[in-house]
Amino acid sequence: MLLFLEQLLNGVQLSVTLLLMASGLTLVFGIMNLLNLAHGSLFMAGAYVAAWTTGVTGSWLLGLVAGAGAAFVTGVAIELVVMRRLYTRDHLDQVLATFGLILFFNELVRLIWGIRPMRLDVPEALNGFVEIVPGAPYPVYRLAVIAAGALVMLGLAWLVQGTRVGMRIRAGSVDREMIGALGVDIGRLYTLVFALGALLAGLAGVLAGPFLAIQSGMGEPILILAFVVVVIGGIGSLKGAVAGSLLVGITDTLGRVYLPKVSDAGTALSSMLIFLVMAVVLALFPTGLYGRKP
Amino acid sequence: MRAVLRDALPFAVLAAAPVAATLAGADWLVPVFTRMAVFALAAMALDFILGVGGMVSLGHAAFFALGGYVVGIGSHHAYDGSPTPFFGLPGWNDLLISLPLAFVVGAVIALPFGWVSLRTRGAYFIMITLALAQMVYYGLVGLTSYGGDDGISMWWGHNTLAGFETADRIVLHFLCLALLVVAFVVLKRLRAAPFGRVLDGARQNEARMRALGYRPLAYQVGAFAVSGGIVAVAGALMANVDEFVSPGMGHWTISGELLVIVILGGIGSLSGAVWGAVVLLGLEEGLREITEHWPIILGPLLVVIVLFARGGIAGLVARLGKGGGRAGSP
Amino acid sequence: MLEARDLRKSFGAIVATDGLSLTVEHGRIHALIGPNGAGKSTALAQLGGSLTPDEGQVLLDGRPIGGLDEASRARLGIARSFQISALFPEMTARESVAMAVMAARPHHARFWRPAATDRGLTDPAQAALDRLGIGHLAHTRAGQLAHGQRRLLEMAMALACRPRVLLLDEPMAGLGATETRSLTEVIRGLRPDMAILLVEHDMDVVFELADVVTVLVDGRVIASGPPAAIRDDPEVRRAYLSEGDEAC
Repeated sequence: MLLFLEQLLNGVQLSVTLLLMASGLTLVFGIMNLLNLAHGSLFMAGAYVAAWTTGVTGSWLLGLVAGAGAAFVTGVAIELVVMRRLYTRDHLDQVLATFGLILFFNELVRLIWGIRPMRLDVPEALNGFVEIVPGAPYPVYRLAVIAAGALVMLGLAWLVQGTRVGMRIRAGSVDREMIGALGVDIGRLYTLVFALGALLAGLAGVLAGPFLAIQSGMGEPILILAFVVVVIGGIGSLKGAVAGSLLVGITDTLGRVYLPKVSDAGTALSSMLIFLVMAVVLALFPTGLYGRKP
Repeated sequence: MRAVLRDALPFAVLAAAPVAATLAGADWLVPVFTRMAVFALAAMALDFILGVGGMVSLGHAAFFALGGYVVGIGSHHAYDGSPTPFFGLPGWNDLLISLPLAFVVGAVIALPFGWVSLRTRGAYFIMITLALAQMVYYGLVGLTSYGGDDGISMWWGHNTLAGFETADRIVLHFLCLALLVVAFVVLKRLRAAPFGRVLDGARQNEARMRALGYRPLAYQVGAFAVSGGIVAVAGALMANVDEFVSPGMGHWTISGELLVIVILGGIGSLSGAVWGAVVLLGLEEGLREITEHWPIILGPLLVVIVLFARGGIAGLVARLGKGGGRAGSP
Repeated sequence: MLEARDLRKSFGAIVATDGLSLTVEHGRIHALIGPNGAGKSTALAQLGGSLTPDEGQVLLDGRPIGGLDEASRARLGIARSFQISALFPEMTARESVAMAVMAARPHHARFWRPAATDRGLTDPAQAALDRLGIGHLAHTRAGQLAHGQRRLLEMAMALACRPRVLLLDEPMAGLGATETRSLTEVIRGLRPDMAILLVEHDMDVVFELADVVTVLVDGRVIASGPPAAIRDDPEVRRAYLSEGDEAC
């Protein structure tokens, strides 16, 4: 029972990482109709820069700011140089161009930081355990990640639902011409939305950094899981992203713990589980749990 | 006539190049050309569903890897004499078995993959094929009795052909090239036949096809399966060329490369896939000579090609030669 | 032949079809008219099978076909033309019609044979184009045809399905006077061979062709009968015809 609770929390913590990734993907897709494979590169950028900054300065907080900031700046840069030329292209072009970007970024980090994986340690202040229920110690840092992720998502929900910028974003996803007619600079709005998604991805990279080997190509497995989240939840829906990431995060974590690993098939199955869940959801709901019907 | 020449030229290049390389004493180059033929085969199968059927699959690496493992697993058991886990059957180590088997395995796995992916269209389709391929990748990593992450190294050599050893690399090359030509002829014919016309019609206007009395889904799933089967054959050939299989064959970047090859060659041109493979793999080899960090050049180059040079090489050739043709149709 | 019984369909709060019943007989042209938004296209879609009604039945020769999808109904001989031309932009006119011919012939016949040189496909396709007077455009891509020509190609594709029931959604929309004239004659020529349901805004065409006219307003039938009776029906005049005879 205690093991189950612990694993459930681990699942929620993975969900938070996925949610930060998926919400950016789904915003960018819902508003600019852009399928961005390079979203994982922003995750990687956040993790690398945080690890490097923390290593140099010794300050985890500085690493957090630098990592998220680097992802944000990278996001602005690739939006200005590449992405905005892709909004009106078909998805195939978007896939190919962002594939090119991935090749570039995965090699760039090798060029800068070498092929040896880097490490990001858990911050000193959060390095320890707390008893959530008597007799069940749980790492403080993981709880902090869950809390931070929840806070960020609440902030995002407030931004989209409750502010003028959010109103423009929502209007933009419904009708591009109308928002242009309202006198909003659509180009700047798109840059802002893309950079916001990048910031969230960078943040996810920093927060998940201590659980991962920080190396070239680390963004893509997370990206693909985030795609599964988006497919399950429904493209363009933040509510769907929340539901999807909880489903994927918890299923994946519990599956790895509880599925028997006595044979090859068991080991393989536990890592394939969420994809099978995705297939079942799709068979029942072709546009995802909260997707708009075509 | 001109169209026939345009189709034949890339195959002729792949036939002449390794011969020339061998005569020039550079026979270490032969596997490079063989790789081109193998990737051309896989990309051509992808082009069939993409160019004719409009299905953008970012998951074809899965079938490539499955084909490879058909060779790897069979060869492993044939070498050490142990029975396979499949009903205790003995291993296999002949291309006459492993190639058809690879096709069947690829096609059979592609059926449910295609069906699930075709529940949706557009961006969803891309993401789902990518996710399903990732599932296969993790599945292969989980095969610890076949090396897990490290895969199977066939240090005892590649498959025999109808019982004969084919140690000569040029024989293997021409075998790959022959299969590439066969695939081209079959796929070209299939595209012109009612089967291909229905796929083409569904790409252009699926609702209209239903109103005419067609059920495009069956054709699309069928085409996806054929495509998956051919890609698996390519994977089986790759395993023979490299004498090595690993989950890396199913890495999603392979799916991306196949798409790049199709685009470079011109969508829907089928024979263009050969040009695409020659250019992409040639570019990779060439850049590798310049720097070990070659993707840092290739990546931005791809971005530039997508942004500024749609229609691919075949489109360029067609434009220069005023050859018309359907290369570069969206 | 084709019968709708008490069809109902709502989209949220909007009732698009409210108890529609009508019968289309072989050898007759049944016109369905009504102001914009009356639910004519929605009704057609439910008969064709691309929309499922919330309630009610669709019968072909007395057999319920409500459970069949669009493709199955097409194979039973229900063909339709679309209000907004729905074509294959990259195919030539003849290739487009050949798709319809291929759909109508026994399945998987000559599976392996290139469609472009199969005279079993190209000859009937060419004949359908000729019948509509666009035979000379056989090798023009559908995407490059002028608007009126697309309407005619749309008709040719519907005809090539060899339908027993033809559902026409505003075939005259956007046609010039001459084209309207000739298409009217084509439709008149089809009458003996099939049952035709015609949704049309051009009242001259409707009253010239129709054997029966049904008037739809807000999803409900307000009148149904021979053209002469409909023309004089006071309720119809008030609800619809008073807007002007050629409400386009």
